[in-house]
Amino acid sequence: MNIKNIFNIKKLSFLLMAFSMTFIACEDFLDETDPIGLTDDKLTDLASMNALVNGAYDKMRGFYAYQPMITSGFVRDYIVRNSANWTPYYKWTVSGVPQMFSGNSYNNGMRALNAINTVLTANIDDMYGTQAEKSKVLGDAHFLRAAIYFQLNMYYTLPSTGNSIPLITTVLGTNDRVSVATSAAIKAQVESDIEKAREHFKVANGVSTHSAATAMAARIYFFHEKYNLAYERANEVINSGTSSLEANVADIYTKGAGSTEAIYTIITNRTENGFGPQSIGNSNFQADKDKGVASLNPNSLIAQLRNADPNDKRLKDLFTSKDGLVYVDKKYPSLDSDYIVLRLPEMYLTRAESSIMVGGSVSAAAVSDVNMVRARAGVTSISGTPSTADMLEMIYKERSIELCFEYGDRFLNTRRLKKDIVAEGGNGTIPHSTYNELLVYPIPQSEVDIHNLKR
Amino acid sequence: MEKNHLVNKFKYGLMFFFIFLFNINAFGQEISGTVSGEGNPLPGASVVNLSNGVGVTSDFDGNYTLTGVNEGDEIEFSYIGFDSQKIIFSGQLQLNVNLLESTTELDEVVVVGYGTQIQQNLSSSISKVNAEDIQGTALPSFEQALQGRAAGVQVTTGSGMSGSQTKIRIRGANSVVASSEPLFVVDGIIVESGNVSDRSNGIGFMDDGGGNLLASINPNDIKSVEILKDAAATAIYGARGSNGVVLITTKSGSSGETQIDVSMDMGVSSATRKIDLVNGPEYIMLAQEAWYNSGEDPTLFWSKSGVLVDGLTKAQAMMTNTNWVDQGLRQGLASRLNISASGGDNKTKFFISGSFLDEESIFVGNEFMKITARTNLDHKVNDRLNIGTKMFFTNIDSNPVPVQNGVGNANQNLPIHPVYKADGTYFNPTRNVRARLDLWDYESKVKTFLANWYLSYKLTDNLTFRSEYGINNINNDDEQYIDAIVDGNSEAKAFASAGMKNSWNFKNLLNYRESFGKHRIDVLAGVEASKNERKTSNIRGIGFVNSTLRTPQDASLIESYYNQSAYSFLSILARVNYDFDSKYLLSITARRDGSSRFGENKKWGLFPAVSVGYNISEEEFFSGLKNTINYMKIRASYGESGNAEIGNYAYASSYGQANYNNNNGITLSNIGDDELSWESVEQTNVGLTIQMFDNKFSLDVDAYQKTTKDMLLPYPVSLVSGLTSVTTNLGKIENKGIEATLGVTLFDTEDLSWDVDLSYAYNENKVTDLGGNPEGINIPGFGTTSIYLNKPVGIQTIPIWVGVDPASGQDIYQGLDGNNYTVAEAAAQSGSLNNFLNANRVPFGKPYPDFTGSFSSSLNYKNWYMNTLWNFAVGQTYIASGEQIQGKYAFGSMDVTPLRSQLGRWRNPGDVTRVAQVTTAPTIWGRTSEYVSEVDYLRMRDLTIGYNFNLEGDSFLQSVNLYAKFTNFLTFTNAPASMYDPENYIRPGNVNLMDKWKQVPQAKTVNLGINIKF
Repeated sequence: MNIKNIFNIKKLSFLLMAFSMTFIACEDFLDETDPIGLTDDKLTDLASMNALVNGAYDKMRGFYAYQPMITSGFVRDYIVRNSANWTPYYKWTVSGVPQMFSGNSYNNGMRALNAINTVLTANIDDMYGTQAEKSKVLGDAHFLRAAIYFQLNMYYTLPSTGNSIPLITTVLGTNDRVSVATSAAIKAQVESDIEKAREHFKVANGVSTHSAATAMAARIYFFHEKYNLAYERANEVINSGTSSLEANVADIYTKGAGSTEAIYTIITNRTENGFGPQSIGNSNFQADKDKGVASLNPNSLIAQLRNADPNDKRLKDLFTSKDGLVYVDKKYPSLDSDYIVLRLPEMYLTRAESSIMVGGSVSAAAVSDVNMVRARAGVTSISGTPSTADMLEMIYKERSIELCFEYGDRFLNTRRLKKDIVAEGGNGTIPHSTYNELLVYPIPQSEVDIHNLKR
Repeated sequence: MEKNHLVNKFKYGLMFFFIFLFNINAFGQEISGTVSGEGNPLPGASVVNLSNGVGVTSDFDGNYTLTGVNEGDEIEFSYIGFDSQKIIFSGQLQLNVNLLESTTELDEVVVVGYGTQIQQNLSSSISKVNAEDIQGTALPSFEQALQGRAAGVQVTTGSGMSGSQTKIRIRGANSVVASSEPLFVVDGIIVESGNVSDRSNGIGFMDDGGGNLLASINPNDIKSVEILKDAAATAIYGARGSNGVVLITTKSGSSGETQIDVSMDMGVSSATRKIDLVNGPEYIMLAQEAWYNSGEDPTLFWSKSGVLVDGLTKAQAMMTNTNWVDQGLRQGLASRLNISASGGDNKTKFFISGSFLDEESIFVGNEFMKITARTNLDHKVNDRLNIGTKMFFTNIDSNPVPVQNGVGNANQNLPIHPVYKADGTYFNPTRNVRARLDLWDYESKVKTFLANWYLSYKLTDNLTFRSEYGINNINNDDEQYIDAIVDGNSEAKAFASAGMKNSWNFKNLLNYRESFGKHRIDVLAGVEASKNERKTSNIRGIGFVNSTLRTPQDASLIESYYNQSAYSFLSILARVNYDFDSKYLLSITARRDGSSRFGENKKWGLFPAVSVGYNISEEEFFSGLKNTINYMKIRASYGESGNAEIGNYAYASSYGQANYNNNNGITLSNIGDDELSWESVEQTNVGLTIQMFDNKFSLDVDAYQKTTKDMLLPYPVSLVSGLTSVTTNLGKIENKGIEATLGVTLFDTEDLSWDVDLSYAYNENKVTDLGGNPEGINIPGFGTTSIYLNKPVGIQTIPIWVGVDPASGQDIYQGLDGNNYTVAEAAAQSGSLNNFLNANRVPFGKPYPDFTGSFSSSLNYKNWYMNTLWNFAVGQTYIASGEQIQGKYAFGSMDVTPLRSQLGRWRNPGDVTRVAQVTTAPTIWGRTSEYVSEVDYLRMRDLTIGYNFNLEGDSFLQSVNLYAKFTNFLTFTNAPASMYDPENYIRPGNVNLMDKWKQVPQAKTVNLGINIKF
């Protein structure tokens, strides 16, 4: 036994030294913070509020991504070739609206709303910055909240109950529970937000502009069937002169945000985010029989209108006939083209129709608005003053041609007017009474489960 | 008997002690010498004169002096882990003895965490796998050869891809989403395991598993693998031990002549099975039938259905019959070379090895080249100081190939489509299996350096200090290029990724060993610090002006990505092993772990364990039985260890980059939690070891119960919070089971020896607590996967498919109300079939086998030998979802080839069949129980037949051995034709375990090899 050796000072010190070496850093040694990403305690200045708003705009790319495909499928404007993914949307009467792509707008919309609500509940008044700088941020936040809730409410409202999705205007934690709001309550919030956005943008434009907010307001009131306000806002946009129609229809989509008639655009930048309406639209609509997925349905309303006037530039210059198919490819000319959410022609058509809905008769101004849109497309002008019924039908067709395969106007407008949708294979039609309850987006199952949502 | 020598040793040791105490010095001669073991001096060896009971122990140099020895006295030299030697004293003055390492099981040295123990004194549950079972393996990585070698250790090989990944579950799945892979420790260094790189991050979905870092290890360097199973064994690894620990010990040299070992083998491989799809004429028949059944005009089939693509004509289609599976698979070839040299003298010992592997796997385009080099050195500076190092370098250069986009795409091509057009170009290249494999280049290079350096200093005879520093550096370099013609948007893409994972580890240990009479104590105390850093830089380029340009830098669009993260651990560990007379065993372990990964309020955790053992056969009262039952031990342990695979910064809230239009943008990326901590697993283990009939029969049985507390869960939260999930500690999982290993020596003669082993493991897994969620939790991001109370983790929630209605040919599903609904009735009730199926899901399936096991046999007859290993697993359920779902709805899109089982479809009222009428109805993507099949298998994992040549005495060769090795050569299974193989990796992790979209083939191989020792 050499117990004594343990107390040999030299050895003991050697031992302790070695031991202490690992202790030196001790608690500090366990402090590892993420070198990437911003912690939530830093969200106290206007720069971070701006960053949140930009982050929300990035989410809008995903928010809009599948809208043109899903809604054009709803109204059967295209046929699907060789895609098991998209067939269910096209054949929705068999399978219902699947969650597969529709949940995307809910997911991205809610995530954007979280950022927006963070901004709108922050104490911006006390942050360092000019009123203009603050208005930019606030304008964009209100604008996006209006745009998101407007769209979600349109697609998620169950007609039979009038219930929609939860309305969230604050920052909620993981333990908060919500229930669905009525469509009417959401509409009121959307209208309030879009007006606030207009006020703030009056002080200073943000990522979006005062005219974008005003045009969005016109669209909102139009589909909320408040035609007097729709008229006023559309009128304001047109009269402001900030936008003008492109001479050549194909230029609109290749120029994107740079187009003179684009009012509200989601910028595509594939180095930031490759996902968005342009990537979905371009991949699916491209004029390649085997790579693309969707081409014009020969039985669709659009095909019928195209047959009626093959020289309409919107149906000639923007479509490609090849392989016995008509590709609707030029609205999504490349993976890098911007996605225009709102264009000037919609304002003309909204103003025209709203004036009829408010006034009950067709004015010369309304005819002139429609002719503006027709003339640019190389279509003969409407002469004289048609009857209200004829004029409304003409505006419906005009709107269908002008805005097909875009934001979703085709479906929303068809439903607003309770028009029929062509049946698969062209055998007859499906009436509004049938599709109205069927073409409702399903709320993602996880949200239903967590909040026990019932529409 | 060998096992008695320890007892004897202590009996005589005690006698010696008393004799010494009373100073009764005997007369007689004095003898001295050195005791060495395998050529190295053995300090502390016992030297006992059996004739008078006088004994001494050797000093640091192995020297001893024994007095009072008379001629004819029998002297025993013994040391733990070595065979004792008895020598009759015949008047020598100097007696040097070299002990040989023990080969009996009980004296076998078992590597444990931070030390070693002999089998007999072990009270925890540890399985040992020897080098022979691993070396020369034709499997993609060494740990895959562990399957069937240790009871309760379930090993699944990722695929037949070179260097493919592995999934190991030791006594079931402890976690839901935190990794359940064991901790891998090579020569004391905790090493990185898992993927080489994230390959789906680049330019397309690879789904090849991302490679396997452990594949870098050279199987022939391994001396032994110990698998720590119970908490008493794993608690010493604290917050990282709960999934079990795999300890890998590499070979070291021994003094004596240098031995050169050369082995070479060559092998061929092919897929174990292939999926069975319909052929061209069958496809046309089914497609036309579906077309007609859906009310379409039969005359328009060819012009309207969409089966004619890329300029194909009806006449060409009718003449074509392509087997697309065969376009993605081939016969593989592999060659291996391994050279090692080992030797040394009393002061310095070395083991140096190098190996080379060149493989072309069964996947078209997949190549793999590996070079390894190892240097293990141990040097004795003086009596007290030892220093040494182990250094290992690997270079792997491989070409992975996409799976889902490769052979997995076979069913998304039609048999009536040709591979090439008449002009030699690829037909329909964006879907063409062959085009994608040929025009998608991937080169992955990985270099790993794993090393440790130690010094060991004897402070006193009993107290040793050891300091060890280890590093593990991994650098990967990935390049990809995909040709524009196979891209859906006609863009060529290039990708380059550089990644590094660097970790270091520094530990200081004190070990005190002492015996007081029959009491023996072994105390370990230590401090360990480790840090791990990783960085990834990715650059992607899209669009090139010329096809000769293939690096991202030349692209029109360049995207970049960078990531960096780190974690650290600081630990204090201690263990006390005590035994009384080698009869009563006690071991107490504790580790206190702090980690940067844990929340602010939960930085430190304590992981204690205790185990007891009782060598009952050493008792006096047992002696009557001892002729039959040679050895019997009972063991019990209880303890706690943890799982820290939580992610590096999961505890902190954070906003990640989300730029818009070249302006800084941020978005919520994580919701933090100051209370976030490790999962802890409590485990109770009882075990029994018996050896009977002259040790010809051995039985090891263990029963255990494990409870995982504070499971790390991605708890689903509502999108209203900005995210779909947060990481939280919630709920409990229980695993309980039995493991048994039975060994029988059937023959043991000079010419013939035959050993047979049978192992069996049963494990039951269930979720026992989910906090305030009485039913279950939907795990975000995994589709329909949920965890349900009182069900195993990994099940799915799916609607129940009942069968096919003989009257209408429609599928029938069961509603939650218990009633059966045809498709039409379901759609009428819920608005649509999708709605019905979503609303009527129930927890379903058995993600784990009811039991698993293996049978192995080792037969030697003269110069011949034959070793075999068979594995079996029974009762697991599985969904080959891609082939089945796409196949069922093949005609909704007319671009999918159904499985041949679709030929049994319903055709006329009254037909009783399991396959519904074929129609052009659109795909319903949701899984249903229709796709579930029970999969059992029995597989011959290994069969090696070899011959050892008799060499002339003066030959410069020591031994020559020739062998043939068959791996996965025979498989018996009830798996459906939708599966490539019943052995299913499926995916890492524990959720969604029944369902793989596109299964990956496994390989069977035949190797011929030669092993020469100089």
